[in-house]
Amino acid sequence: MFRTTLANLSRRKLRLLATSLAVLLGVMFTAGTLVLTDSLSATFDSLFSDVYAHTSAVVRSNQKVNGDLRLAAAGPTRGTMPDDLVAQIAKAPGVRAVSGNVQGYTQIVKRNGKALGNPNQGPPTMGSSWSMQRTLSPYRLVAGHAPTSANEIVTDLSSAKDAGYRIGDQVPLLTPTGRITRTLVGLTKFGSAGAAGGSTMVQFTLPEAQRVLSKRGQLDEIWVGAKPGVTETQVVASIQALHLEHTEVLTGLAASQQAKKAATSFLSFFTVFLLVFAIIALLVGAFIIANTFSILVAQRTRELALLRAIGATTRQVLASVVTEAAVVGVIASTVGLALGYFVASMLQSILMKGSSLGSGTTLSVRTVVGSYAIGIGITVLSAVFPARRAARVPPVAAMRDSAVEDHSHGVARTIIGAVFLVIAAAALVGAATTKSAALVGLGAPAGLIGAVVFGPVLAQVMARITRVLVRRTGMPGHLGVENVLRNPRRTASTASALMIGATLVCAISVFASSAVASINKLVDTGFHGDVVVTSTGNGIPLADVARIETSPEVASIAAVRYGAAMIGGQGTLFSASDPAALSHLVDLKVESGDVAHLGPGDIAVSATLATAQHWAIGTKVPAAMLDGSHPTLTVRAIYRSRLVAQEVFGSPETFKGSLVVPSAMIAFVAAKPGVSGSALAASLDKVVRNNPTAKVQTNAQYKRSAASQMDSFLKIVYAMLLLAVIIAFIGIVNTLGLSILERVRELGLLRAVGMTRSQLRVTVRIEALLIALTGTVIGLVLGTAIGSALIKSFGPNQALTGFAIPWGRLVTVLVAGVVVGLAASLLPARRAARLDPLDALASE
Amino acid sequence: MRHAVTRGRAAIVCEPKGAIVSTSAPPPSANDRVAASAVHATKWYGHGDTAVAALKDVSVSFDSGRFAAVMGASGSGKSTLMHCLAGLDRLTDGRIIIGGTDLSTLDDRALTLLRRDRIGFVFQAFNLVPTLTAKENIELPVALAGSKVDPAWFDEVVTMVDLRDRLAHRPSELSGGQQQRVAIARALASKPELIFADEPTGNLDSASGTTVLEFLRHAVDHMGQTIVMVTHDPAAASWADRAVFLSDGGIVGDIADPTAASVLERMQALDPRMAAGHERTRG
Ligand SMILES: Nc1ncnc2c1ncn2[C@@H]1O[C@H](COP(=O)(O)OP(=O)(O)OP(=O)(O)O)[C@@H](O)[C@H]1O
Ligand SMILES: [Mg+2]
Repeated sequence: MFRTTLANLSRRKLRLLATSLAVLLGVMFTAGTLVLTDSLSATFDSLFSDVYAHTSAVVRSNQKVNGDLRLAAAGPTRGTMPDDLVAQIAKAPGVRAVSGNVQGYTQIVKRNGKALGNPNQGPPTMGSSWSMQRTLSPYRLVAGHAPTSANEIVTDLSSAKDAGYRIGDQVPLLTPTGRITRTLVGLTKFGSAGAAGGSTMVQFTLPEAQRVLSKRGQLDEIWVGAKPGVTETQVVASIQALHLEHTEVLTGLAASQQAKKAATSFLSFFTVFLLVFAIIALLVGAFIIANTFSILVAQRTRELALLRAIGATTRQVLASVVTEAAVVGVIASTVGLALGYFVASMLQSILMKGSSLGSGTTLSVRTVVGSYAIGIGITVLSAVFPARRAARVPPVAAMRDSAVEDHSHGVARTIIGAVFLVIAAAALVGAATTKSAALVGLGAPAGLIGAVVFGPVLAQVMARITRVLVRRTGMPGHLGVENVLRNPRRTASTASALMIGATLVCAISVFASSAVASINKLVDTGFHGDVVVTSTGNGIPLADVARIETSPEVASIAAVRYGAAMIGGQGTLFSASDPAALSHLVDLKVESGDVAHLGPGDIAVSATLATAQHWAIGTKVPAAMLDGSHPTLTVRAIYRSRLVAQEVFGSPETFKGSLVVPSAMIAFVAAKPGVSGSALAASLDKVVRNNPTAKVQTNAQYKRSAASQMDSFLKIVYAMLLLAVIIAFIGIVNTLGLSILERVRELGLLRAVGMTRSQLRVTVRIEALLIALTGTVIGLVLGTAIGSALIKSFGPNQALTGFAIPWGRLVTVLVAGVVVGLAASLLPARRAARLDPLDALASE
Repeated sequence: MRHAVTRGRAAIVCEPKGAIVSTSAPPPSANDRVAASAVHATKWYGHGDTAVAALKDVSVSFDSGRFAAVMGASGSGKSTLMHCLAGLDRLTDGRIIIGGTDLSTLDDRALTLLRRDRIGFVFQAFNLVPTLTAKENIELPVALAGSKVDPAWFDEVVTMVDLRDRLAHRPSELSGGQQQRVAIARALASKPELIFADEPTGNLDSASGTTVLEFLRHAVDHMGQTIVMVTHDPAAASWADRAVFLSDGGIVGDIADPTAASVLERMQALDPRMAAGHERTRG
């Protein structure tokens, strides 16, 4: 039986190529993702081993805010220590060397006046103190000398090169305390590499670093080197014995492991994001595989029946088809794995450009096993259903003349599909009316499953509608529609692949356009100022804010700073600004209480947080700040609009213990009467001209840039979904190709009785179009429904209050569906038109 | 025009073939024209050592309004001749002329349009498009041309082949004989100059085969059709006005008003084994 299987495979190489391609692309995506993240993780491993390579112990503040990634984005989540600790630690037994360090934001301004790097979208741009203890620092000088005075800095080699500076040059720098210019006196390398994972690093003398980073007299970390013969644990114990207040001591090894873990947790977010798309691709691929095997089995009905007639058991026939699938799976997985590895190593070298870190691409056992398991698993699983159908072919079918045509789509299947669709509709409507996003989690998969299961009926409906429409195009169009109708199940499963892609694209588009609409609405109704100032760096230094405030055109300004603190026992992202100014310039949609008159120790909280924590006006909430203070805060107001104010809002005075960075993330500015928004923006532009990361925008410009940010996010998502569309495209080509092979005689007859080649091409084209449109239209409807339900399910407490159907984008999806259909028909149509009518008629 | 034979219908009335056979004369003008002719037609298949000559310098003409049978042993070139005459295949050498048009001058598109508008086909099997109803199959060539069948003519054809109550059925719902009748109706529907039938009764039992032949005969007698039919069967050939015999790619005989007996006799003369085979099966 196995030999028959192999013989079958080699005979239908070409037909199985498409199947293999569908598996291959999915496996490639999966393997590529795994290889890339493994390699990046290996890079981080070596990076953090380098950081603490010579450090026996690390001392740091034990005041910290626990929480997720969003918190880290707000600024530091750990407190600092007074720098006199260094002297104390140096006296501890076993200690050979001590180095106190500070770190923070510093961005180099390139020779062309633009800022180097973008810490909001890429690796961090950092500034720190230069450690005079050479053995403790991961950075080493490769040229020049160490900074010895406040005017001197060193930078990493690749940043200096990218920014266009050489030793001796004056380098403009953006720091939390404002723009400064320093002399470049040396170049460094990180461990063995040029820079640490694409980040940029500017190093000052310690006192200067403390000054520019706004950490006077403070340290972030103290690195300790042990005397020879003293172990890490011993030196840690000896420092712990000093009982330094508000500190924790850990070994160099533990510190590097913690740092690795933090980096890996970000990586795993990235991995999951990519794997989601890999899974979508594989899912789409599964439809193509199942479809190909169904068609191949249908074409081989007689052959299989003959096998059954001469004594092959049902089990043997099943095994033969499944084995065939497994062989395809193995081959496709192998090639997919190899290509994935290749793509990942290319991406890695692009991501890691400028640094020779992570010299190798990592191929872990997990990746190999995972890729094969997924590739073979999906292929075999997808082939099992057609195989079971094949095994059930009765031996008498061998004697029947024509291949069994499957007009039916099963009553049970129709009912199950309809039930799923009804559940989906109920869940989505329920989600929108009861404001529970969780119901979308039920409705979306139910809708997709329902559409797939109910697909044959939908395909028939689509075809019937089209039949009326193409009546005018005459016989060729009519035949194309009939071909779609002759096997609705096949049409539906071919279309399913495209449907999944279209559903996702539409749902995401609706979501995104609604998000943009929400921002627009918020700006229109909630921003009472004229100009918004933001930054692509680390915010707007307070010095710049002060200069804006004193500009003659400015009537009022509300500069909002963000930070993290433990509030009510939870790591919380807070915003701080002058309450009167902010409530004047931004409508926070206050539900109760008064925001404008919040005093020190008073806070306003979002309605979501208040509900979750059962807080009301007057509730006293315990807090812990990064400086170790434990104020008790009083809830004085509850608001709904979180976009600007985050979870908790108060005056800078209230949060002073956690407001470490002296910059504002966003500032709202109102013009004096008689000054237009654009005039104000133009004059403020001049005020902040020395900061290339500052963005001064009128409300309208702000809306536009928010929309364009959303667009760039969408582009990434669309690019990821493109793979699914490509697989769907291959699926249509494959199905059409196989169908044409199946119908060679019929095509020969049509040509004989006078169908021209171009008419035949029209027939194939209409068929392809109809398949593509079936998938696209169902996807459009389903995706729009899911996206709308999701948006509508967010309550009024959420930032997303706008709702907008992106008509233009939906039309684009429809047009894309048409293009996919037409493009997919090219090859099969050519092939069909090329058939010689006589050969076709004579074929068996 | 050495094979052109002109005579009345009375000659074959003696054949006991049912009511449709008529004694009335065909439209007089029909005999004046040659519907199709092959002139020094030669067809080679393959190249070099494996090359086969399927037709060797064949010259033959078929008159309008006549029913001709092409007979011969298997592999003698009957189908090849028919395919070349019908514009489905091209000659290696020589010319095919259909109603004054030299097929060798036509490109693929023009040949296709010629088949669509001027020629009708009945094949041995797989005659119909499975997705179309009987009615749609009948109208297929006309529909491909973007026009409509004259309803009166459609009615006449459908009545003749007795398919009125089967028009909405798909081919899979029709018997083999009914399918062949649909094919005949399709061939007639476009009022072609010429109908080619390649063993139209080859897959049918004798009763259905007889019905199909009756319709072909009727189309010639009452509708003025011209039919060229390839067949193995002497009895089928006896329905024709003329039988042309092929052997080894050449014309070896041409008899007018064939009867089953005269055809068998000629076949025996050409190839005793083949004729013997027929004797046995008819046994
Ligand atoms: N496509 C082809 N390639 C090569 N040789 C061919 C081809 N078609 C036909 N022939 C050869 O040409 C000769 C004539 O074939 P043709 O099909 O015309 O015979 P026929 O008289 O119709 O036979 P039958 O009664 O079996 O249908 C045969 O020897 C055949 O093998
Ligand atoms: Mg033949």
